[in-house]
Amino acid sequence: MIAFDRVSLALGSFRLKDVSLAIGKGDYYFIVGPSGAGKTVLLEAIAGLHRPERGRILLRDKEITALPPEKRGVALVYQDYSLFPNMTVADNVSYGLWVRGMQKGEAQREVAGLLERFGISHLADRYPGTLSGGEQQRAALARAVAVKPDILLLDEPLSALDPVTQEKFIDDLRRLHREEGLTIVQVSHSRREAHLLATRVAVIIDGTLVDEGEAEVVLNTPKSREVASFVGIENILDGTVTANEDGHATVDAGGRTFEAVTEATAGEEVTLCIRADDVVLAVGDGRRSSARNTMAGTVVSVAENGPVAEVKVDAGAELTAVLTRRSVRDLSLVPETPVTLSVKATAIHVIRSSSSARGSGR
Amino acid sequence: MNGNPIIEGFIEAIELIVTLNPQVVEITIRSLYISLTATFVATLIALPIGALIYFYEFRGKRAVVSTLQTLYALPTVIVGLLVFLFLSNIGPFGFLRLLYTPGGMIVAQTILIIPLLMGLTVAALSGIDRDKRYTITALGASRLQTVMTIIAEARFAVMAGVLLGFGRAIAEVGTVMIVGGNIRGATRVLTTAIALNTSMANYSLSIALGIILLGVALGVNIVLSLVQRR
Repeated sequence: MIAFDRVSLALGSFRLKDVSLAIGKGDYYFIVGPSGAGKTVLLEAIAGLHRPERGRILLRDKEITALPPEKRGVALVYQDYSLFPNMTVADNVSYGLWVRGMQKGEAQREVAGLLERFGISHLADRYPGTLSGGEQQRAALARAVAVKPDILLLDEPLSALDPVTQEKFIDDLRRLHREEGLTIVQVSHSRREAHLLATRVAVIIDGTLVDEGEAEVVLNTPKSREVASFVGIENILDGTVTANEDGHATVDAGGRTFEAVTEATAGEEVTLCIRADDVVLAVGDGRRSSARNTMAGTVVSVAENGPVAEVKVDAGAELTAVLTRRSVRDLSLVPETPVTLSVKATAIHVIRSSSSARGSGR
Repeated sequence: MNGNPIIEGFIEAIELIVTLNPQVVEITIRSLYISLTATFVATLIALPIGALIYFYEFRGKRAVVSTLQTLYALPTVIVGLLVFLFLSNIGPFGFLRLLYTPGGMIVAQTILIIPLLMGLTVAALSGIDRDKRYTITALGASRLQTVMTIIAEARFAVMAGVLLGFGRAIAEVGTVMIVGGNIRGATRVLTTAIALNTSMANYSLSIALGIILLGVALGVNIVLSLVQRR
C-alpha cells in the first residue's frame, strides 16, 4: 500500500538514513526502536510532514513523495492525544469532517455514531481537560477514524496510560484493526505491544532501519545482536562455534558449551539468543531429557511479576528463565537453590556475525 | 482643611466618586475611550502581523521576536516625543491636525502597545505545540484552516495579551501628556489629571482618579485571571 524506497531525510542534527520498507493494506505495522531512534520522524514522514532529501515514497505504486499531508488520506494520533483543549469532545471528533466541508447535520450524525462506537457518547459536551487519559485517547482515536483514513498513524498511543487502561485499549485497537480492516502504523518501544498487535515489525536504531518483516520472525529471530537486545531477548550470549556436524553446532559461549542448530562453521563467531520462556528449570540432578543443553546451576534471584516470575540462574553463564509463580512455589526456588537448567537446541536462535542474513534456530 | 490632608483627600475622593462628579466622570470616560480604541486598533494591526511572524519562516525571525520583546519596555516619553514630532506642524503628518486631540493620543497609545501585542501574539501561538499543529495538518486541514484552528486554540492566550496591552495603555502617562497636552475638557485623562492635580496639591481629585485607575487595573487583572484559567 505504502512503500519507502531508500528514503533519507534530515531534521536538525538527526538523519533518517536510506530507509526502505513496504506496508501492505490491512497490516498492523509496528515501528519499534529505542528513544531518539527516529521512529516518530518516520511516522511523520509517512504522513507527509517531512519532505525526504532523497528517495521516493509510493502509495499504491504511485509516487507521493511531494504530496502534502492533507491529500495523503492519513490520520495521526500522538501519544499526548493532541486534542484541542478549547473544543468539546464532539467538536474535536468532528474537526476532520469540518475541514472536509461536510454538512453540519451529516457531521453530527457521523460524530454521534463514532462517539457511540468508542463508548464516549456521555462525554460529548465535555472538554478534554476534564477527561481521564483513557477517555482522551478514545476521543483522539475517534477523531482520527472520523476522516476514514487509508492509514491510521499512532505514535506510542499506550505510553501515557495506566496498565489497566492499556489492556482495554489494546483490545480496542485490535478490534479496530480487525473490524475496520484499517491499515495501522504504530510507533512503540514496547515489545509486548508488538507481540500482541503487530503483523509486521520494523526496527529502527539511530535513524537506520535495521530489521523489517513478519512480526513473529523479527521478534523471535532477530538479525543482529542490537536488534535482539532491543526486542527483549533475555539471554544473549556471544560465543564461537567449535564444531558443526550436519547443521548441529557446538558453541562455546559465556563459559559453557551449548548445542544449537545453525549452518555456522567451526571457528565462526556467533551470538546465541535464548528466550527466557524457553529455559526449563528442574530441582536436583537433571533427569534424562530430549533437551540438548542441560547444565547445573544455582538460583541467583527470583523476581515475581504478576502471575510469572523471572528467575536468574548462574550456570557458568548467567541465564534467565521465566516460570509461573506456581512453579516457583512448587520447586521452592529461592536464591542459592541448586537447579538443573535445560534448553532445547532448536530453541536457540543463532546470529552469525559474518552474515547479514537472518540466523537459524527456533 | 485642618486635619490630615491625605485622610481628608481620601474622604473627599470617595465623595467625588459616589456623587459622580462631572469632571471625574468626563476624565474617566475619555481615558477609557482613548485606551480602548487604541487597544482595538493595535489588536487589528498586531494580531495578523504577529500571526504572520509565527507562521512564516524567514531570515532574522529570531531577531524580530527579540526586538519586539525589547520594545515591550519602550519608554512612553520616547513614543510620545516621536509621535509629537510626526504629528506637529513640522512633521510629515502635521496636516492631519491630530496633535493635542484624542485622535493623536489614540495613535500614540496604539504605537506604544503594538510591539507588546505582536510579541504576545507570537508567544500565544507558540504555546500551541508542534504535535497539535501536525495533527491538524494530518487530519486534512488546508494551510488557511490550520492557521484559523491554531489562532482559535490560542484565543485565550491572545486575549490575555490584549488585556495586558490595554493595561499598559490606560496606565501610561508619557505619550498622552506629550501628544495630548493635558488640555482640560479635551485631552485630559486619568493619568495626566493625577499628575497635574498632585502638583497643584489638589489631592482629593488626584486620589479619586487614582482609585478609579486602580479599579480599572484591578478589573483588567480579574478578567485576565479568568481568561488565563481557561
